[in-house]
Amino acid sequence: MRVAIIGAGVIGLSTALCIHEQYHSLVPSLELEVYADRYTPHTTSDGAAGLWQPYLSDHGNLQETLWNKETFDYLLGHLGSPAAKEMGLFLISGYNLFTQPVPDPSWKNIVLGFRNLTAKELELFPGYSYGWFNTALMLECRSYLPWLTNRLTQRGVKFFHKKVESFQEVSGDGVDVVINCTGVRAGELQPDPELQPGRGQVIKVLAPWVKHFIITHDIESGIYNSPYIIPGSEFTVLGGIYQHGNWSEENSAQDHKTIWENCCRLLPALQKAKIVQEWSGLRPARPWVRLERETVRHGHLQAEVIHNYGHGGFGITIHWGCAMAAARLFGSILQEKKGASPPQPRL
Amino acid sequence: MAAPKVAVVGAGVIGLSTALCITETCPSCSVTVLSDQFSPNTTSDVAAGMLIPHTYPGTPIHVQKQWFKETFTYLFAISNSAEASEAGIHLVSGWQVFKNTPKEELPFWSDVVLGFRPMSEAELQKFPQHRFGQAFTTLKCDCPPYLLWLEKRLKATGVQMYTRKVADLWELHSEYNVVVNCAGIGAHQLVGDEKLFPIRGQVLKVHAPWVKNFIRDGDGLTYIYPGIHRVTLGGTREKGNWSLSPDPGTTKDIFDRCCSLEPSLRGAQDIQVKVGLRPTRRCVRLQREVLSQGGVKLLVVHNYGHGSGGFSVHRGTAKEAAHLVGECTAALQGSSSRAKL
Repeated sequence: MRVAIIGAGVIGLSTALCIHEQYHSLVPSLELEVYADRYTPHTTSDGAAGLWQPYLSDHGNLQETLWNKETFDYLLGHLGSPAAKEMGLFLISGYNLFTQPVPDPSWKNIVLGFRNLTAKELELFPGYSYGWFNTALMLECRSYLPWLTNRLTQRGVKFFHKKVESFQEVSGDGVDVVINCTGVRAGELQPDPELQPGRGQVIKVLAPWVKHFIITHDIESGIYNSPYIIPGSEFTVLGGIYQHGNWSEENSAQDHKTIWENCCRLLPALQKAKIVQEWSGLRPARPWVRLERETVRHGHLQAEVIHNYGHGGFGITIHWGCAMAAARLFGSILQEKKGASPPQPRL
Repeated sequence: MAAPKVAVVGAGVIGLSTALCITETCPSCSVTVLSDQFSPNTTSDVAAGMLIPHTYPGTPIHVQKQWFKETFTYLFAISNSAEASEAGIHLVSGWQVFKNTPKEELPFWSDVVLGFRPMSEAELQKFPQHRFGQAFTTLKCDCPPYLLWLEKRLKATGVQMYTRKVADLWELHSEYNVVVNCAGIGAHQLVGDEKLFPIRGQVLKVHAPWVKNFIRDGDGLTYIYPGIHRVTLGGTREKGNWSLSPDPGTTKDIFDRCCSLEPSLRGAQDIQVKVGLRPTRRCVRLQREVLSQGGVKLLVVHNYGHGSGGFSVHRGTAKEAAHLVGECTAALQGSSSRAKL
């Protein structure tokens, strides 16, 4: 049985791993293939700082909150393992700052040690009158994606450097199931007006004295349009740009200025930090994640597709829960194929 | 009288911060720092510089708390300023974990550090051998940066600094009006203080930049303190041991203990080993003394014996020492004006 995963960001690679882990012993003929035109370090995932943190509100989307929790617990379980360093996984504490009191987030009991900030702590952040402190996780994709790639390679998964133009292209080639993890460009395979780029820009600096993440929020301007500072294992990421509908992957001088001035105001010592890199990426934004099966027909032929895209700015945060959900969908496809009598002619 | 000449003996965190406080409280004083060692070769350079106080059995708690609060407030302001990275001062959060619940669940400094609270069950799961813990955010003074920053501030105010081994405070009586003794463990020999003894500490300084939180075992023996460039892994507390040579068996033991608290440390690179002698006393010797020899007087202010709590109380004790220096110079003014009559 051939399964093609399109997309090699955090979603594509983790979904591939999850499916292989769960089904390779049940389906001896299982062959997984990854198709992507961009691999690490050139995926959207690679540009992300890697902080596990969902948006402030899940808009009643309990499904997504559950997937976030599954991801956090899965990663937490790997913290003490020898693989943690190679995965780019570590604990980190930090601050979420607001200009007014806000309700506690859906994830307050998922992270460790969630609490409100004390008055003295707020003195550190003039202009902010309310906030949270908690310990969460970092998962740096420039380590995690190579780690996933190694695990997949060990398992015999094949990788192809190729831009897939249609589902039919792979299914017509004899692939039984297609897993669509194409992120922001999913619309090129199948139009999806709900999917829009949420353009972000970040500045990577050397600021090793910063040990906490600091994420500010401006309810008016919306998520990620307010400065944030996220220290990684080597660089500190400065950000605070979210432009809905902007497809440009070019760095903008105006955005650079916005990020730099706002972050230096937040942490004056950053003025001394050395700038190492600048990067822009497109968050695959959608009102909710598209995680569902679809039978794609072309003439009298059909193929099973599992969509797993639209994770916005919380792909790393939610990836494993989604990978497991996609694996369950894959399982149901297997069930049906077992029960099905004459196999359908493939596209 | 002409500008009082003050010599500060010692250039660790106590000597330098005391010299700085003296320039602040006595702008007319001429201050000189004399030491046989400067950063990076002082005891302070070995320490992690964490603001987690040690309790001195011989000092009233309210005094220790005042010293700590003074120090914390001072460093908090620096950490929040543009100078933070140059001064090596940064905030760090983490956990102090106990295998057995401590008698005193709330240490005297719990309301000085930030966000102090007991650890949650979920947080304790990361430490299966420990049953109780405290989470808080405190400050860290990285050395050499902090000492170099103090030296820079001192030079800017005109303070001279000389490498010189002072074997006897009397050597200084002809050149200086007041001598401030911040010799740390050196005071054992310098002023013959038998109550001062070393508590030897061996530490490892490793490259493990993914470690962002501190972890300390409440027994004080095992700790992981992430600094700007290196993580300090500790340690030992060997009373009366004067040896400054690293012990390889101890290195392995420290590394293993720290890895059991934080397994990812197995991947740490470039392990450097350092040894420091904590200048330990029942209480910090922070007092004036008038030495007399053949009719000649020497005014001395002692500020040494901070043991493992040097960084935690340095600014508080420096200010008190500067105040005592002020008393000395006032006394000198008084006697010199009397002499003119």
